[in-house]
Amino acid sequence: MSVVLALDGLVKSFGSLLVTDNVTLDLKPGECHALIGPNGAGKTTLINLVSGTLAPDRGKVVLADADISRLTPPQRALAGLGRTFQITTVIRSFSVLENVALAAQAKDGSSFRFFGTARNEDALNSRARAALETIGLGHRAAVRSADLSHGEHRLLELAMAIVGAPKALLLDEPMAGLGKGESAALTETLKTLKTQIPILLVEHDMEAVFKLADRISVLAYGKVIATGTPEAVRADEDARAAYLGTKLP
Amino acid sequence: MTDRSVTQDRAPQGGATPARRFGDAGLLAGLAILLVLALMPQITAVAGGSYVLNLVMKAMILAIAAISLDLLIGYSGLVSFGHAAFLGLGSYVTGIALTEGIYGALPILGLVLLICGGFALVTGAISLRTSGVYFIMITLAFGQMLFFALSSLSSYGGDDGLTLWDTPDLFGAYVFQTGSGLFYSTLVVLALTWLAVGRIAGSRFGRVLRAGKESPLRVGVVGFDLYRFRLAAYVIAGLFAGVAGFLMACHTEFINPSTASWQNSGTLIVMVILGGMGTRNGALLGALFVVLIEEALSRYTVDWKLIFGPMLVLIALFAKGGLANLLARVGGGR
Repeated sequence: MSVVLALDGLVKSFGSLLVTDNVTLDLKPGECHALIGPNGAGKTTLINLVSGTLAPDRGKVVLADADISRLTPPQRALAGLGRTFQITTVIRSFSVLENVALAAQAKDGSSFRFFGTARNEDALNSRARAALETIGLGHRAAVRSADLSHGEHRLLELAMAIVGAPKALLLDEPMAGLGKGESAALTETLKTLKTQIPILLVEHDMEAVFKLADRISVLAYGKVIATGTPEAVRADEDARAAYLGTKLP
Repeated sequence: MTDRSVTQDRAPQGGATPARRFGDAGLLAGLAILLVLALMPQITAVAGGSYVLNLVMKAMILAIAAISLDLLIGYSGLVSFGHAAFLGLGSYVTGIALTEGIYGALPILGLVLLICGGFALVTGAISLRTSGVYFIMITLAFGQMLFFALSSLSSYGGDDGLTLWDTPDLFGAYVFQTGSGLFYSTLVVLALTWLAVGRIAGSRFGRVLRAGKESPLRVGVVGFDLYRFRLAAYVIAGLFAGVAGFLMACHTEFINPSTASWQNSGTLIVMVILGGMGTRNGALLGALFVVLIEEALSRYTVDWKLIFGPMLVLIALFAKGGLANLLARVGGGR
């Protein structure tokens, strides 16, 4: 399998406004493919098309050779698409460990089990613990997640996304709101992570993007106007024009 | 990743961990309440008499419905304003079965579960397509539909309701006849409801419900179809409330459409919120409190609601987490 996730000719319009204009791109094993573009370029819409919150007018989303275009977001998650949000959504009253265990539970048989204490299920807890260790949040497992810092929330989201061993990760601005040190650390984590799970990354932090990405696609007015290695994109005239006034590093 | 940069350790800022909520404190408190209830026949024999015992029984039956409603409001974040419909339906199925010559408790309970479960499945499947205020409105609408349907059953008393001349029997034993038989049957059902809701809340299923209360989005992204979990919870709650309706018909020996009225649904919500949401002890305490305080106040004045209203306001303002939390704080010395 040379391609893990493929977007194939995705089209979406709201009324007469064409927000996603025939977008085709793919994600290969071991790579981080970053999606950049100015505000209003249609990045969020594209993310929603991939994760299933929106249905495309045309085109399809293929995950590991299976067409997932018609699946609901939960079904896509079970099919192996892990994602994080721009805005943190964790279960604040749950402990850090229980948040991740909840995510592990989704892929571990039926959850229509009405008896037996979920928090005591060792299989779920140990998988959750392993995911937290991978992300570097292991020492905070017992803390109530409402008490985490913003940066730790982002890490927790990431742990929840990877615990089910997804085939591909969809990260929507994981660096948003992080301090410089925090985002540098997260960049390192993601660098290791992408070798195991390929990452489709939407990110505003250009420094992180150029450090992490193996390929970059530039989105403008719903269209992919350039795809290539960071060096190629940096040199691309169209990409520069799309970021008029914004200097690419 | 370097720990230094991302994860500066902060001491956990206290607060009740979920362990506390399902932990031993709640378990012991609940068992203590149930034990006191179990001794009510002896206690009321010394003081209060059968009149008080009857009130306690009424409260216990309503507590079954309130605890089941807490599964929806407290654990799932679903404010159902039509839960009394299941009480009404359960009592009517019981009353109609008795009138039609079905006396066995097991077949009647089977019918109650079947019909209440079916009603919950159909109305829940539709109601749960909505959320928030719309969910409240649509459950209210279904409750009222049932209320008017019951009122129009002219062969079973219509508006006026129907007196029941028989009681269900369990293999010839009249354990559901008013008196100590019904008291202990009710106690057993109440204890089972209390246990079951506690187990469900802590289970895998309950974990999905509790997470869905906070963030339906997150639960979906992780891979759960929350709708199915909520529908199952809605049906489970409806089944318990239906059994409470059965007990109510046995207790009052009378069925009345007003059992299913929206006022009654509102009272159940008050019990849950007053007692403390998401703690089955809360619903239990809330039911006892509302029934007994209503009785006590109405002895002094017909305008007892003038006193009861401000009391609710005070509890809402100053006892966040309801009576159960108040009790835990006093008991735990916090």
